[in-house]
Amino acid sequence: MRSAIVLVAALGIPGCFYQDPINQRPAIDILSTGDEVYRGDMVKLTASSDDPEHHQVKFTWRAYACTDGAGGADCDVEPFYADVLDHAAFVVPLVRDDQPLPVRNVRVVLEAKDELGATAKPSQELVIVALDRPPELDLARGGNFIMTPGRDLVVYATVGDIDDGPVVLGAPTWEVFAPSQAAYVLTDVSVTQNPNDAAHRTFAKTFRPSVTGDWELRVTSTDPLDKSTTKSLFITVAPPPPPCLAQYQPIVATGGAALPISDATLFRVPIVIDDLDVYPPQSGDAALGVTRFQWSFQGPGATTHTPVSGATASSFALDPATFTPGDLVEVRVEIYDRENTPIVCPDADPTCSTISMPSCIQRQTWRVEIR
Amino acid sequence: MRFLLVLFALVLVGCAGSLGPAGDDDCQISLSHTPTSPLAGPDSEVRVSSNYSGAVGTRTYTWTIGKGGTFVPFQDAQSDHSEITFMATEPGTYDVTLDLSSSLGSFCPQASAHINVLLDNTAMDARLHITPPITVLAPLVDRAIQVHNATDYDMGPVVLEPGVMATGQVKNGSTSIAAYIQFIPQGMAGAIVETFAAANGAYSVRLLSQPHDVIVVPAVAGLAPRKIIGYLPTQTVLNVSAGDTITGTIRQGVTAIPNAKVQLTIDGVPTTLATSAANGTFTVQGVAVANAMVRVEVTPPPATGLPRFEASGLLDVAGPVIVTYGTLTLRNLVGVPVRRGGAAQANKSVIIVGTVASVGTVSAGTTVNGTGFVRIPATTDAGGNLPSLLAPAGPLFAVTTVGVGDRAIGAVDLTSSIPTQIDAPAPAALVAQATDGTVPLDGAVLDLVPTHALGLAGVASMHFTADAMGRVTTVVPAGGSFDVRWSDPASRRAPKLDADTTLLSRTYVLPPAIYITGDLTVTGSSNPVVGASVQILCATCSGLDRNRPIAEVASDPHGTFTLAVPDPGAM
Repeated sequence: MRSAIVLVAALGIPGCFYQDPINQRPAIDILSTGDEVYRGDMVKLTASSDDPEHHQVKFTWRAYACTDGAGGADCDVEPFYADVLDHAAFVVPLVRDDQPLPVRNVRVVLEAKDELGATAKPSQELVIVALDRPPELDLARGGNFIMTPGRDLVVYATVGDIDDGPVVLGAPTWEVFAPSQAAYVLTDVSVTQNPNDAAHRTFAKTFRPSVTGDWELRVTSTDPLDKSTTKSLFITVAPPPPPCLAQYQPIVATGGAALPISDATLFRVPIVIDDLDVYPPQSGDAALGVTRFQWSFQGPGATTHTPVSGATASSFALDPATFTPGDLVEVRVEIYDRENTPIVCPDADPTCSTISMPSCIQRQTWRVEIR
Repeated sequence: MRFLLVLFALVLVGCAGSLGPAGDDDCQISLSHTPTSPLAGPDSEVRVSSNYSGAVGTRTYTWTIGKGGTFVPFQDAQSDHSEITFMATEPGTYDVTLDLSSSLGSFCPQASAHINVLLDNTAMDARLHITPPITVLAPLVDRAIQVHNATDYDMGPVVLEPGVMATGQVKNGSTSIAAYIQFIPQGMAGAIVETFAAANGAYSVRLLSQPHDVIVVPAVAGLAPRKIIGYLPTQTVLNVSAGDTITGTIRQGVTAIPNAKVQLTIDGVPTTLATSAANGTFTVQGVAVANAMVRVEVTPPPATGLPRFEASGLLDVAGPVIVTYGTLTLRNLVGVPVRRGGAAQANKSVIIVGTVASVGTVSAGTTVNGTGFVRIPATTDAGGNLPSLLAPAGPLFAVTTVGVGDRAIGAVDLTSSIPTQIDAPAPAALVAQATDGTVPLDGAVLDLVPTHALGLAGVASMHFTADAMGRVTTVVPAGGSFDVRWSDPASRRAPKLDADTTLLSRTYVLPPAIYITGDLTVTGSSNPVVGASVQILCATCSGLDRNRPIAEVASDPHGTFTLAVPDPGAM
């Protein structure tokens, strides 16, 4: 607090004294919404004052990067932030200036004077805990296919650390939680890093589950200050979907009608869609095999379809000359992938979907009239 | 026909450049080249010209030419750089791009062209058959193409037309008729679109927007199948009728043959099916066409022992069609044992097959000789003996099903007598290997398509996959004839066909492949056509071989396809 005494004299005036009131010190405070931030965060503080004479108060801020900020111990000599404002805004440094140590605290000092020069005492001090920000971690899987036992899935873990940068992060740790402790394979995969994203590193592993069920891949990334982030990728491993007949020729008669043929006809399956075994073969994908076909035939007067020995190609030829005109016969194809899922529909069903989806059938039957 | 006899040559198009999509300022560039079908050689110069619109101001041309990832040098052919020339010393696809910028800032999309340079003019016909997936609204196409000697070919964009929906009804007068319908685009006979008209006669099908020939086969008795020439998809009614009544007689000498099935095919359109009456007469409904090729097929009852009769000729069906079997000696095989190594084959299926060269004639305005086809099914009794069955005298065969996958071919020479037994020989071992000339082709696929006796008996093709040494080890009916078809799913080599052979166990060198590539889209859409069936088919074959793919793939997620087809120059 500051005081002033002014004596005033006036000639010819009976003697008397005038004394100004003594200027009192303002009281100040730091207003903050909390005392914990992450390194690298923006901090905003506001100063408040209470001056008895309602003088204008000028605030001076200083902020020091510290390892142990209490009482100013173990802080940088020079503040990393200083300003004269009624509020402060600064970014918490990642490391101290004096020493290559991560910032653990920020010591903020607020001083003030009123317009008559009265200094606020005591000055205010706030110690903000500068926390280590945990690493960033994102998980992603390759492809959008249905995951099935024995199938390889590439899982990507992209890590970053705003505090310390991605370089200081080691490879994340991977844990697999398997249904019924089933066996699995998890192997490293080399990944080309994104040259346009220096702030992150990507690691990958190939995951091959052995059984169906719900699997969890838990990945943890830990920074040098032992802050860690853990995320999980939940993978449902389902029984393999069956192959689907995508195209077949010639047209299939419906509603009890029959396809009349008077010339040798090639019944064909030009396209089979599947995750495992397709048709036509795809030479560019070693993981894909080839569909297995089985053709069956129901001759005139027969009531069931009999598999034709050796008829396991994608086509089946039928020569009407080997029958009597007017005969009704049926040609049937059934398709399998390496799972060999049985096609259990009754023999009388012209089509069959092992997953009860009419859009994905594994059996097709042509009813043919020999002409 | 044999696709091995066919060489391929792709049709080269002189203006191979893509016309880039118009930018905001409507600048467009296209490329063209001369000669339109360049041949490779040390002096083979190809000139590429740019054609632009909308680029104003001073233009800057930036050209690139590559082949197989290698830069190809070029020279300016115009002082303003709008044309270039390069030397096409090697066959293959040369990829040309042009970026054009103008001083006034017009933006022109890049123009590109795939210039296919041929080794020589050796070329053979083929068909590119594309069936889009059901999710793509476009009818199938079947285009004639040519494949050139030792030259991979990039077709560039292969654009499917969305076509139009054709809806209508099949009617007989005012009556709706269920029917089977084939729509055949004129000029594209392989692109047949099939459908069925329901009981109310209604049909709805996507067709190319062009005239079609239509074959309608009514499912109602008494109505004749009909061919409609020049149908337009906008037509809403397909009329059918009883057509013409065609009559005739089936007889052997003067003896009528009743209960024979009779069908005629006139100009490719079948008639109704008839059964001959007790007096041998028959009546079919069809559409008589003057001077048309008529095929007559007669299937007598098995008990007669008469072979199936087939004849084709320019018959006049306005008058009676007289089918006359010649005098055939029939022999009864009752009691003839079927044996394998002396062991009776009890309760086995036996099919007696063979052909009879001059089985008789058909007369309708003119007389045509017919061919007889014998196919008599029977089952041996508990003693392994044949039941009573008549067969024409001549060299025939018995195809016996001894077990699953075990068929035997035995000679049945009825020329002068009935044999004392029919042999069902044990199957023969087959060891065949596929190579590229030096290296075995693991995973190669072998299809054995039965011919002769096995084919007549309706035996299905057999399908095998080679082991790691490219070998297929199996057994086949001893003495059986097959079309041997090798293919390589890995596209390392092209398919190979050895037609109608009994010499199966040997090494097959699959011919080198050349590769045809393209990118499928549909007019009006930039989206690729994924999962389309893309096949190379024989252009000159008939029968089943016309529809057996020489090569086939599905278009990939980018709409791209690559087909490995035999190099015509290596065949």
